[in-house]
Amino acid sequence: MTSHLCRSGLLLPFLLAITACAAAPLSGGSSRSVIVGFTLATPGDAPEALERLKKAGATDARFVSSLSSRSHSYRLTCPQVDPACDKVLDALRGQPGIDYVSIDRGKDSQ
Amino acid sequence: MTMLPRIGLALCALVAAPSFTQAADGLEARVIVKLKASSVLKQIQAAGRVETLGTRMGVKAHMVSQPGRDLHVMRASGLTSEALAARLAGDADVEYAVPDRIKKISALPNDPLYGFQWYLQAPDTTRLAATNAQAAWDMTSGSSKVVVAVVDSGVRFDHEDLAPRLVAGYDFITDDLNANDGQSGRDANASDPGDYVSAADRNNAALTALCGTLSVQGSSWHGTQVAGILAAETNNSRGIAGMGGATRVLPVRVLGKCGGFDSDIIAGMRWAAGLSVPGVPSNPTPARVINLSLAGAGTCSAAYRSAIAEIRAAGTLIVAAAGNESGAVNEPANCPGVLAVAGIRHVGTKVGYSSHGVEVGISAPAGNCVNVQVGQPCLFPFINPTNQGSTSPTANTYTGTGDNTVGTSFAAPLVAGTAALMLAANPALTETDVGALIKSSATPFPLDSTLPTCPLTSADGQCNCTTTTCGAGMLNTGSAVTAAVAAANPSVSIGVATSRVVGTAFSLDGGGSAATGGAHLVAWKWIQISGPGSGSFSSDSVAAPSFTAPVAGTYVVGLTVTDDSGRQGTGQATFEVQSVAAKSSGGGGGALDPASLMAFLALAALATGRRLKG
Repeated sequence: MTSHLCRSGLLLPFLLAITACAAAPLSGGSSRSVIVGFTLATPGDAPEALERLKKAGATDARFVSSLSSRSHSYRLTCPQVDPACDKVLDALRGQPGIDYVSIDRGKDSQ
Repeated sequence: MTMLPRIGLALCALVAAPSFTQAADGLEARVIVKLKASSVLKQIQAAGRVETLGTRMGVKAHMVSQPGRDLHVMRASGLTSEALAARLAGDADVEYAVPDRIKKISALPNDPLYGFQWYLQAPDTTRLAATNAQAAWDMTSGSSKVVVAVVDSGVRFDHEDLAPRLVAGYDFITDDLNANDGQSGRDANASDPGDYVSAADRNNAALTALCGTLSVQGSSWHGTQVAGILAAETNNSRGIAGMGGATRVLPVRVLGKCGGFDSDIIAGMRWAAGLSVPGVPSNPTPARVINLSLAGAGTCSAAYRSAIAEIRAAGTLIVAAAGNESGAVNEPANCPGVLAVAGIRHVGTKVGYSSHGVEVGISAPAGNCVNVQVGQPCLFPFINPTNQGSTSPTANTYTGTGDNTVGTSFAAPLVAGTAALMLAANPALTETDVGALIKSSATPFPLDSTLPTCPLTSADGQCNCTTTTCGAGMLNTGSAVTAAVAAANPSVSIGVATSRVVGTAFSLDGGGSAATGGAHLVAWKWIQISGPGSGSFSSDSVAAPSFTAPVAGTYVVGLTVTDDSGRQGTGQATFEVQSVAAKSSGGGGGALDPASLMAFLALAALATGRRLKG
């Protein structure tokens, strides 16, 4: 992943993202929050699930919360403005066992 | 050929409609009936006219009074006023027949701010969009068994106008900065600690990383306001009246500082509907309706689609604000299966700020201030329970006419509260039924010739609503609850044998009639409404009697069914009786040749039935 980031000129943002992890923001410029829907019940914080996401998307993933037994939110160390991040999401969507990947967007009272 | 009689029964099957709920025993009908100018009954005394009509209807009737020369008030036992009026309306001598209903002084809530709640009152020439909740409250005061989830910023549990209606909820906000409640992660306290953004917050790098650019602002107490519109305690001599009467509110906290995230909102929605969320205790009071007075830009995501499908499958209706962006409908209101609510002004035109589009299902008042200058009051705001605290909570209070309390956030709970009243009136309704009835009972949009038609808008965003931009019409709570009540009544199906000859008994079949919601039919009442002669039933109180006609011609029979809750449905069938048996092509008893079948099909098409409006 580091070589990929170097090639795309994103090593610095990546390092900043790792640093930002200490403050554990849900979402921010250096990370992207996503909701992953699995086809089968999957413990969202299980090491296997996280490893699976890392391998699929070639990026670090941190479990944030569960929506159901099959859907969980994660923070990917993946800058929001990086087109490569979209490719990561596409790669995730193409994985067997993953039903969908949605961006975890914000909502406001109306 | 042997199937033909059975086919004939099916073809004659009619669906009829419901009448008002009434006790099965001791039914008493009271109807105003006017005779046609040409009626031959006018040749006899008034009391005799009523008795004759009663005989035709299969009941013993007597006259109560004669308010006009051809106008009579009649009474009869054993059926409802609606059922008798429906039967009389089909008589050749009757111009009209209507139930003689008792009118009462409508009991208005004694909540002192009710006078400001124009959106709950009966519409008039200046407030066309008012929902007429008052009329609905005459039919049901709501039910504490119906729970509506307010998925929002939490509530002030100590608000005196709200406390009796609240059940314990849950706080689904995962991020502690977003939550601002001093507790780690999700927790069982759905209380609203305030969603203010202070100057210090603006300088908090972690919070700005979470939220983006922040503006200093006070706490909104948004969830408390929305919950109040939905279910503030009514008739407690305090504050406002809630749309939903005795409805209970399940507060689900998902919005904190700078709003909330889809992941928390979806988890909260699922839990509200009684679905499991890992790490969260099960919900002991699942909601039949979820109110979402929140929105954000974007198309409907797969995450919402998946959750909404599960929630609907669990039987929970989702009502969502369309958004305040003037343009396209926001997420999640734009998701399939959600009842999206657009905002309209007091006169029924789209309010400038409301989002609109084909995804909208219904429109409701959202508040509008009508060109207010600085310092002038807002003319058509919402008056909501709130808190005086600009940051953390202090004393509870209400918004006033000096506040611009407007937005599609406030239109949505009017719809959710209406749904709750409907479910109180008829618990058997499904979430699909409720949504469909809210739409079908809506009031058509008015037309203001000075405004463009949506999606074109005036400079301030107003336009004349259409059914493809603002949903089915204007929310009519009175009509929606009426429709819910009517849907609880039994349907009537009448089958008639295909072979019908003078002097020979042939079968009628009301066995296809059905009660709703787990009720059972307990009584059938057949009558002959009209015909060239007085026919006879083998029994007039069974599901499938035989009927014998003395002379050939066209006969009309009626059937009233009653369920074990006293609800009734009435229908009728018209058929021809032949003087001699139809010629058969060689088949045996009761079978029809092709020519006779065609004649029968024509008769079947003439058969009429009616659903009585409740």
